[in-house]
Amino acid sequence: MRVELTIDGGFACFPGLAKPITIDSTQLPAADAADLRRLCGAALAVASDESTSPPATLYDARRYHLAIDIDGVKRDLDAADPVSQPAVADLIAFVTNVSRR
Amino acid sequence: MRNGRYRDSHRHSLLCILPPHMLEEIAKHGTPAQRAAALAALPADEATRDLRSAEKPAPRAARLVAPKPPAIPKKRRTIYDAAGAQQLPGKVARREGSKSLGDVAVDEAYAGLGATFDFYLANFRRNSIDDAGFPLKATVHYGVGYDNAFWNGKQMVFGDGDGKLFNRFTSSLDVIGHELAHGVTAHEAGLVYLEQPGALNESLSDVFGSLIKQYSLNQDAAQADWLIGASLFTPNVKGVALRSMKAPGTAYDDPVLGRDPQPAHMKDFAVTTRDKGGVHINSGIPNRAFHLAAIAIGGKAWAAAGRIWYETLRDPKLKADANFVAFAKLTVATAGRLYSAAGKEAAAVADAWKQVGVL
Repeated sequence: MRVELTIDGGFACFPGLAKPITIDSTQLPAADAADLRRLCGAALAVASDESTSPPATLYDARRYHLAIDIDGVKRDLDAADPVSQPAVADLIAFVTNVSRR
Repeated sequence: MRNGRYRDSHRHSLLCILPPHMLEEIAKHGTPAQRAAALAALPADEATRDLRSAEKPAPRAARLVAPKPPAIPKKRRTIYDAAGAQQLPGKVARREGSKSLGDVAVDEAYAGLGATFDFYLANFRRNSIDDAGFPLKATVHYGVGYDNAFWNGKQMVFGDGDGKLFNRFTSSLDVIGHELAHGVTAHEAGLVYLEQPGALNESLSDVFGSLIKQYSLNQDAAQADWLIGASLFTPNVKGVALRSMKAPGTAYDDPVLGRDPQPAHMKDFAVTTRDKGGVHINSGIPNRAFHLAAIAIGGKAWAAAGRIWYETLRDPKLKADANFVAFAKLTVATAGRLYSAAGKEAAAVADAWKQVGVL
């Protein structure tokens, strides 16, 4: 499975962090690959409950776009700060942390 | 106290002796120093605001609502701990007047909110974000490795950083001031957070964030570093800060973060759909204009340049969709109104905008 995370906005605009982050489970240790699959499943289960765009009163907030490919089935998930669903926040944090190892 | 505004009747003992009608005449026709002193002594109500402008501005819609109960300026801070979750506000970690319990982020947020409140009150007689005692709230330890901070219209939110690239976001006073300044802008001109008005919105937050830091250090404009978020990078990052108001585009050049994309001149204005049309990118242009104006005027940057920018923000002629040119022209007009149309302040402001290619 593959997950591509794109982050826009935030306190500063870093060109290097604006590039999509792509995680391929085949490139991960087994435990991480299992975590990724679990986190994706949990996030997609609540995706419809997640706010997709920050209201006008939000400044320096981030917007997140996840393109998830699970065994050829593709789903998109959008979120924005503050991410209301813990499962979505956990997935975003996991992908970000793995990319910075 | 009138219309919810607090008046320090002992600000100037001589002017306190003079009756209001005499103060009003001085405020209209005196020298810049006399006008400033008279205005400081007058009640800060709608009539006084009119005197601050050469022409009578139409009152903002927000000021036409029923008067709020009088408010005595005092800090009302509450710091919350999200404990790594992303639910707001979190658990109360420190209330106004309470002692530190040893959490550095909590204490930094508490001190930073206080410093910001004190700055606005001391220099602009502004009672918190809305000039009516808005409670100051901040949530720290938001998320896990969250390397960002934001203002949600009611409170500030700070992450701890990921520890690899970013430190905790409460470590930088100008960042705390920046976020609160978004609240001030929202209660004044309400600059739309998109493209040029959004970049002005961002720039105003950087301006007042930097001024709050300079004020806390009692620095002259020439002594200040003019950096935003200088303490946020870990030693792993090749850079000095998130942004430089003095030299936009030079704050960092890092293999992971990339190169600081801010332009310093209109000829390099970034046209993009990212970042709400580049609000954090093109803010470099008005940032540099403020820096140039402050350096040219000299002394403390918050005293004249900061005052000009603040009064421009409050001017009803500043529309929510103002572009750089409209804002720049208004700052020049404000400088002329507050000081003299032929004075060094107005000349410095006009020249600053010319140097960045806006005027």
